[in-house]
Amino acid sequence: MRAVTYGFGMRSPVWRVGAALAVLVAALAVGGCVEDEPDTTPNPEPTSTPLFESDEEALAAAEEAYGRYQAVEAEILADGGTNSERIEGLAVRDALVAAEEGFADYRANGYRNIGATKFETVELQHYSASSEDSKDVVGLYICLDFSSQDVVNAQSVSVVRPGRIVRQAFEVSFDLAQSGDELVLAAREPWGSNDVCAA
Amino acid sequence: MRRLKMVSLVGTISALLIVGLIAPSAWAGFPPCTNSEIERGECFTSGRIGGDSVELGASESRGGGGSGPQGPRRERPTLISQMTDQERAEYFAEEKALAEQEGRDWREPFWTSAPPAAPTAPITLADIASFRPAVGTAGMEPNGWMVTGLDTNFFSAATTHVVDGELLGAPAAVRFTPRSFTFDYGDGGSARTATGGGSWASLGLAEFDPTPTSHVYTTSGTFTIDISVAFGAEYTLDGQNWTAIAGTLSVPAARFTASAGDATTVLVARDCRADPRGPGC
Repeated sequence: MRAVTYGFGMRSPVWRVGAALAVLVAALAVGGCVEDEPDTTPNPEPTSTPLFESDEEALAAAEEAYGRYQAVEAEILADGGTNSERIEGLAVRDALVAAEEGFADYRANGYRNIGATKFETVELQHYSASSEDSKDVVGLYICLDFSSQDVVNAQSVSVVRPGRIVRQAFEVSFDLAQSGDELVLAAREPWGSNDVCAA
Repeated sequence: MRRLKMVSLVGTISALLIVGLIAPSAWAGFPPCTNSEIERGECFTSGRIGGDSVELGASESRGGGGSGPQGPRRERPTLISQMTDQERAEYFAEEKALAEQEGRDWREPFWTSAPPAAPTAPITLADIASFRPAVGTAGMEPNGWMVTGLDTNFFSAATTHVVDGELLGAPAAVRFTPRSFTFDYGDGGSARTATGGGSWASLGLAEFDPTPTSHVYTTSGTFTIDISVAFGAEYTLDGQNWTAIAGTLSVPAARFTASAGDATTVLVARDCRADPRGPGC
């Protein structure tokens, strides 16, 4: 079992570092500590074919990819984490590692899911204008609803933390799959604001 | 005294944060929640972006070894969820008292669900309203007239470009990338394309050849053609990391008013000496 469940920094996609820097830079600027910034603006690059024609299209593609992932994840969790290779192709990078670790945890502890976690979207967080980089091309906020789900151990005793958040917001991000025509889950992390779940 | 989970956690964290800020690829110091943790309700938010910067400042003022001006002090345990409510309350009270002594701002990290407002609210198109994208030049061929039944070529030269300005009170740049071009041909026809098109010459085509953005007028008359560009936007505060902004910004690029006639009318009815730039001259 891992010692660190969550911490100060946790893993952050690169873009969020930019936001963190924004805060830092803003804070320094208020204090008058910022020198004139060197002109590091990159030259404009030629545009490539847009990945998505609209917000709706990006949202729909990501929602569909998450739905595919979660449907299979639910099956594996209901099966106590066995045959977890079923998740391959539906998750990559952090999301794949986290999924496989979780499945291993289920197998090791004899956990299994009863009922299924539901997900409700969703809010588009960002999407990439082009396919220059296939990583983190779409980000969403989603709301996971655990109200009709329970995790039990081999003795059929619930191992869910008492008082857990029933509807919890997560931030999910997607890479472009190698096939290039669909998205695949790359990361899923808790999101600080539960506003997504309020609606 | 409570058992400590990780003795030099704060020092480690601050090192990771500093390294992370310098080299984002080194950020990956903490594994994400596993789905087992998520499903069992053991995965919480950490306050995220705002929390990071707050903690960065705090840990700098304390030094990395866990002993500051106030003497040795208790480190933050790894799992607040493993504390009892009473332990957690004690722990937070201690943190708060210490912060007050040191004159720092303090708020309950991790456990409170409300994140700081500014950094977590995504930058929207409204926030970058002061950044105006350049639409570039647009053109039509033949210039100012069309031959019914033949292709008239329209194009926009809008390209990806960067506009400097200020965002959240800090110097920033916004990169606009054309996502789509809309051609409203004025005769009821329209097209939405990924390309802005180009002149016949630049495309290596002959006059009146079809292009991805050309249009065939079937009736004579005067038409108003509108070209607009939908830009996607990204912003950067450090000149290196670009963050996409959701949505697109639609900007009018050009309006042409032009007459369509049949070939005889437009090609013969004028005198090239009187109008050397006229059709067919």
